[in-house]
Amino acid sequence: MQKLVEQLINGLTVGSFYALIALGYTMVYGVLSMINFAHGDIFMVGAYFGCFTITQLSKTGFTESNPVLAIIFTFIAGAIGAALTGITIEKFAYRPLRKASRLATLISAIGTSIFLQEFVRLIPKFGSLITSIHFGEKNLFPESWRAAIINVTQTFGGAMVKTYPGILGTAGIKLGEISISYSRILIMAIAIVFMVLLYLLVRLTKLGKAMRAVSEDKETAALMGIDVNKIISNTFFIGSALAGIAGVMMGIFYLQIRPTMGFTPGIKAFTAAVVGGIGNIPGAMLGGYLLGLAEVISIQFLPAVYKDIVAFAILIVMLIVKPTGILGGSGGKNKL
Amino acid sequence: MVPLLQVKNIKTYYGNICVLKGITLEVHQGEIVCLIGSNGAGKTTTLKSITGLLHPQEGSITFGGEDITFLEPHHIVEKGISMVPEGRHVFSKLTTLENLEMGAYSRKDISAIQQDIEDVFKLFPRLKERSKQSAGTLSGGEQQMLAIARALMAKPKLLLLDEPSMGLAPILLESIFENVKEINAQGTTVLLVEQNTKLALAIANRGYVLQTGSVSLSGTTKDLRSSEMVQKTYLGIA
Repeated sequence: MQKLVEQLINGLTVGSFYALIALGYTMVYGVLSMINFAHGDIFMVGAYFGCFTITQLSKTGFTESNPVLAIIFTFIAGAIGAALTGITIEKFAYRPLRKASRLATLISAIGTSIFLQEFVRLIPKFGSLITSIHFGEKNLFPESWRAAIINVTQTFGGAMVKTYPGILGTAGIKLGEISISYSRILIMAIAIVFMVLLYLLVRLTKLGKAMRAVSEDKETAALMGIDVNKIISNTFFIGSALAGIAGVMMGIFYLQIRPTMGFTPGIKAFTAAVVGGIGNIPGAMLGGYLLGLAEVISIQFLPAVYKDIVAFAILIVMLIVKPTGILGGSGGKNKL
Repeated sequence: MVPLLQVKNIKTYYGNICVLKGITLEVHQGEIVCLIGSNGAGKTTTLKSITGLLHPQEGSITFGGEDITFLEPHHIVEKGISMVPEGRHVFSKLTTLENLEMGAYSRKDISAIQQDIEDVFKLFPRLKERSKQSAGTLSGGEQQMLAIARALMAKPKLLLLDEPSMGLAPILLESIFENVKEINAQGTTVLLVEQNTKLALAIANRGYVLQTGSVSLSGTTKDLRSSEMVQKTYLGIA
């Protein structure tokens, strides 16, 4: 019994990652009818921005004196870093292809995914490249700048695994036999808060209504005076910020991050979005938690290495039984 | 007097196909002007060129003396042109009320919007009963009313109507056209595209006949009604 409850909590934790990332897939699909296959890498970029921030804060001792503020800053940095990456990708990799075939956009998305991974991996190399630019004897940057650039680029990225300082440790609360770590509580709470906020934003605000209008009919939305490009950009901003938050959570929880870390959670979250009904926001949340729970339940009966198979088996079954997803409408007409 | 809307010799293409081969027309403050013509004559393309959904390759469009030829649709709405698109295109997943709010999207005078929603509910009382319903569940006639009401929410100086009669029962037709007359009487200038020539000529002051991308005839509705060509081709009078 105790084991089961702990596994359920584990499933909800993993589900929180999937749900937050899945929201980005579903929102972008909702407004553009495209799968942003670089979304998993935006999540990774968020984790790196968070890691850089908390590493710097820890160096100065700020984390020790103000742990709560340090965590908040880390999340903000991860969210904003990922969000800016998201809108940049939309502007340069997707917007020029808005009227092109779906295949072209898909290829662009996959290319962007590879680009982001390699970019993060090579950042220290860019650092040393830039600092080595010189004209004759004179270097482009003064000595102090060079040291700073190399320091920043090496702290930020690189092929090696980066480590989050273990802020929360393994401490937690105990309810009878069951212990829940603070990091799990934090992750579940943050995920739920942001999902509620997103839901309210989409339902009640002018921006949310405009997003739904754009999702349904771009031409008519433009006739209403809605700047369609701006709404699409905002959608990428919000979806990517959520992925960035998930990235920081992943860092805080598993402590290690690497440039390729976005692939598996990305594709699992995509599965979650499809299972819930892609284009549907509550569907993405539901799909994320279902997938997280299914994975931990499968570990009870199968060797742990099979858990990825379980996730994709669910995807295949779903595509056969109800391709539009659990909460999806008919005819692939899912709208935000 | 400077016309409110002046379209000068515009040529608009879909890809390589020239759809408008030089359309010139003007709409004066307070008028109802109709564009008539058969399918493919370029009526909708003309409206899309005015609203910025398509940009002409040649020619110019001025509104209130200002060149709007290459503005984007959302800027043109701000200038005071709004459109009721062909086939209504209400946002079916949004409620009636949310559709009306979208119509007022570009307005800065947010405090006045609530009053204007009340005003369009007076014009279309049916919509008030349906205000919380998603627009997809409304009947065809109600959706047409909503599409017109939504366009009015932008407080346009010029209202473009694309085929408001399409798919409506005859009894609703008359009431929708009554509404258009009332909207015009309250001070909104109207440019109406309509295949139902008889109805269009009945409420408009002036009209243009479009044939394969050019204006073949124009004049007051009285002149058009007495034209033999219009009688034969569009009114079915031998």
